[in-house]
Amino acid sequence: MKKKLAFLMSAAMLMGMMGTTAQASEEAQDFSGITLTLAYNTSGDVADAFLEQFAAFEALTGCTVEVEKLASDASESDSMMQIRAATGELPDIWLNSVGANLKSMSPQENCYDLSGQEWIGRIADTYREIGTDDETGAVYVVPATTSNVAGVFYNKTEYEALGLEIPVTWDEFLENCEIIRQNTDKDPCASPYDSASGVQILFLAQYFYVQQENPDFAEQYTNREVELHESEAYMRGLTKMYDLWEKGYQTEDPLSLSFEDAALQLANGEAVMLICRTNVMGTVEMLAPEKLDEIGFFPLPDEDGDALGVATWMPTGWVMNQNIAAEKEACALAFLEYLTTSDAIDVYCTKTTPTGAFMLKDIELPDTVSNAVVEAQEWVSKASSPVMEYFSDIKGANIATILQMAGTGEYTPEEAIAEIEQDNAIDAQQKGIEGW
Amino acid sequence: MMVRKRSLFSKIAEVFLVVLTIFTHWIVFYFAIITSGKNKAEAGRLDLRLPTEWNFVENYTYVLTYQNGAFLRALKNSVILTVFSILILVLTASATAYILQRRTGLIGKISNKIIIAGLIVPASIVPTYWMLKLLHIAGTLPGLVLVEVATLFPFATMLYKGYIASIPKEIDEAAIIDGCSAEALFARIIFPMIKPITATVVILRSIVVYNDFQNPQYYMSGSRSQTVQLFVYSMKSAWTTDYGHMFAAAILVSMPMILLYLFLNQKILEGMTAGAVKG
Amino acid sequence: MNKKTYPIRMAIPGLLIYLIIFVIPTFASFYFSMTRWNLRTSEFTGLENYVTFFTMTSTKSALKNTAIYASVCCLAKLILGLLLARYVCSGVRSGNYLKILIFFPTLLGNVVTATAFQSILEPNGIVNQVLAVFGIPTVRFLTDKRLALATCCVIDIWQGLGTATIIFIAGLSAIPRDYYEAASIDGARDFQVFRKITLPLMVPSINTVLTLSLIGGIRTYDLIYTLTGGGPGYATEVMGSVVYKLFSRGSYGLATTGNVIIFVIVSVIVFPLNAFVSRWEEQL
Repeated sequence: MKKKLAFLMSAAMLMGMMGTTAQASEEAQDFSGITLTLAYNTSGDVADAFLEQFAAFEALTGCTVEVEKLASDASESDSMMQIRAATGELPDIWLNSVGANLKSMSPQENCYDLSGQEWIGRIADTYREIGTDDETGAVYVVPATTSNVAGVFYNKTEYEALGLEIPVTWDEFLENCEIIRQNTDKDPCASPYDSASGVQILFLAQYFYVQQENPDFAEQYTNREVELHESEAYMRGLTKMYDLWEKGYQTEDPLSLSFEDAALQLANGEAVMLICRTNVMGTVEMLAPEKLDEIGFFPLPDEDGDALGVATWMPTGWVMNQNIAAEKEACALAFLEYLTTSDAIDVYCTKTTPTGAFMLKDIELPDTVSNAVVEAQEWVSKASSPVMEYFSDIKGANIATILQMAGTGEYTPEEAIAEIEQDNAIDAQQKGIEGW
Repeated sequence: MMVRKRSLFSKIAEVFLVVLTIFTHWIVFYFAIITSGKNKAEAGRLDLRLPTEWNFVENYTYVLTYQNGAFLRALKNSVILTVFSILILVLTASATAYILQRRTGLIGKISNKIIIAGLIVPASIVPTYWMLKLLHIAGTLPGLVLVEVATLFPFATMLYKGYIASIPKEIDEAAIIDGCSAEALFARIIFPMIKPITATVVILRSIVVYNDFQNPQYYMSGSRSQTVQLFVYSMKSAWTTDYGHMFAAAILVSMPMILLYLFLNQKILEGMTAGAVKG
Repeated sequence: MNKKTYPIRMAIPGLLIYLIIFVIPTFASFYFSMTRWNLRTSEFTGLENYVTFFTMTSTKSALKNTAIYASVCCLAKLILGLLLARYVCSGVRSGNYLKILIFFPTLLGNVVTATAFQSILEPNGIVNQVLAVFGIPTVRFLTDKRLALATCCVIDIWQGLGTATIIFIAGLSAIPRDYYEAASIDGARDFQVFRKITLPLMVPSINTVLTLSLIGGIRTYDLIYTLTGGGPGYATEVMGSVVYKLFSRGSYGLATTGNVIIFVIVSVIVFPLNAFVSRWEEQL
């Protein structure tokens, strides 16, 4: 089933880029006097895009959308929503991660089942499947943003100047780094490890190769049938981080390199490569729009140059409160329906250029999308897998810290994996997962 | 205090101290202010250079007009919450501290321990909510105010107790002999004498309530209670941050507290002369 | 005399709010420290969480770091605060200026403080630019594991010194002026006045600052967490940030266990300390 899911996802992402469009219904309902409360944790361009969508819906139906912004860290705001579910203070609609974090919301009690809505078919099958309750078949989420693809972003100008080829194995990647190190004063590979999200990308992106090696790895791990260190592909994720540090191919002090700095360095050519997700292109567009076309994309290389592929992240989604006031119900549903239309996507794109697929059927990406994003999307259809957290709920509280240490030589890959296994075990026990 | 001739050394020391504050404090304030006037790209560099393009008006206007003035609505919420919470806090904590400080019996001792314990233990969100629900004040302003008061109570009581300890008991006794009731004694004689510490409690705890963004979200969410501090948080994000807007918001948000402090600072000074108690 | 002059009814409103809204829910939550808890359902697991908490790698670093952090910050605020308060109140011309300035950081809030310091202290930041002039190589204040905790301490002191100072100023203002006048007539010297009059009368304030900043130091995590996220590695991990991380990951039972452990640690230190200072207070 999980394999099927991975396949469906790539198919959907591909399909998401062609086909016809669904438009907002001609005769919009009148919801004047109704106030919807909405909470999300996003900021920047994407938040502006949301606000633009809300305003458009207000204009369309006459209702009022009241926005509440949450703390910006994703895990913080997810746990805040769990607490608010327990204190009966959920808004009408809120932004939630999909996958394990949605399960922690106890959706059967808190989230509105959208499966009966006639427009639900507009959501890409894979996304809908991830947002579906295995027990009841209820669907809880409508995609809010765009998907993310992880891989290596590189500065084409620098690559040309040095006469470098796109590497297809990790060894070739390291050779390229060595050439850059020897011939320039630039950093071969920027490593923005100052944030908890930045330090996990390479490690999580490796999951494509893990599931190539063992398609049932996530499931078996959750059932405690395999250990993490038993997967060679999984270990290579840590080895790669360790290599970059040991050979000195990253910034001198990766722990103080922010995601934004790294994006800027890549754009300016101060760093030649950056292992990251496609949303980095949004940052480049903001900080150095003139450099967008100088940046290219290739998959994170591994051992076999013929089996390259990429890992993907699902967009966060809008979830509706099951206990919403009766008079607001129709309005909230109309709002979610509106968000699945091409009109809403057009409005979204006036504020930000998408950096991935919308996970809606029949929605085309606009022409303004940068080359690197297009290249990444091509890989999605060729060879890709969602990252492990969509298949396994287990993730320890200290993963970012452990990875920071692995990425700065404090831990060898072997030490790091022991720490991760111990940390994950605690999480699994606290979640009450069987067998732990 | 007697005016004394000051040595050259102490004058030099004073000048040195004042100059030192440029490096220890002004540089940080300068940074915050200057960043609040930069465009997105320059602010993102987080340096101390002057902006090439002065964006003060744009940034502050952006914050003030953001979402049809959501900032001002949040400001109103914060001010209401702060005023009610601090008012109740000052009244209850000062009276409790006075009684507990004066009574040396068992009740006083036990209460002391429980109050100090309250400084140590962080609030437990969900059980507190169950209690509010039991009292039928869950999701209401009174409920939220009580949560704030209860959370700040130990700290305030502790401050009051420390201060009241320095007021001689003889004053109380004299008043009681004059026929004053216990309440009147506290309201008319003691409370005015502890003004400096009241000013201190007000400023120290107002900052906490005013800057609180967690309790309102858990106990009375939505725009009815959204507080200003959320503004700063919502402008800081792991992936895309506009520091110019963030610092403009941060400075605007800090303004009411800065004004309150400048005002109360005078009160604390007045207290320094009023505090001269004739024992 | 005691009961009539100081009727317990005056203390009731405050105590009642505190007991009902704070103390009872808090003790109720202690039960959940012995459970696997997802906020809706809980499963009793006995002392398992306590064992788990102490086996965590982060806890070991956190215990050590918290001890260092709390004692350094507490002592610094106590000593610097007392000296500053006395200086400010001694009638120097810059007194009011210093008093206002020292307190300003407290008004700024953690996000602004942390962001400002991060950028000032970063490898290309202004501090390193100045150090470079003197030929000192780049110092990584927040990402060098030997320095990070010390840097956090300095920033915490910078931010919290105002609170300590203002409490001391209020305490100083309560000292009857007659005492000083008497002392100066007797020809007592500055230091003697400070030791014989100021210090003893300041004991209640000292007790307050000591208790508050020690407890604050042991419990705190928000400023550190914003500055370093507990890193590099576990170099600035403190008890509060361990609990916070567990809480964000949804391990509510284990996070509550951490809170109870913090409670026990602080109680073991603060209650005897408080009793000791109170006895000192009575002797004077």
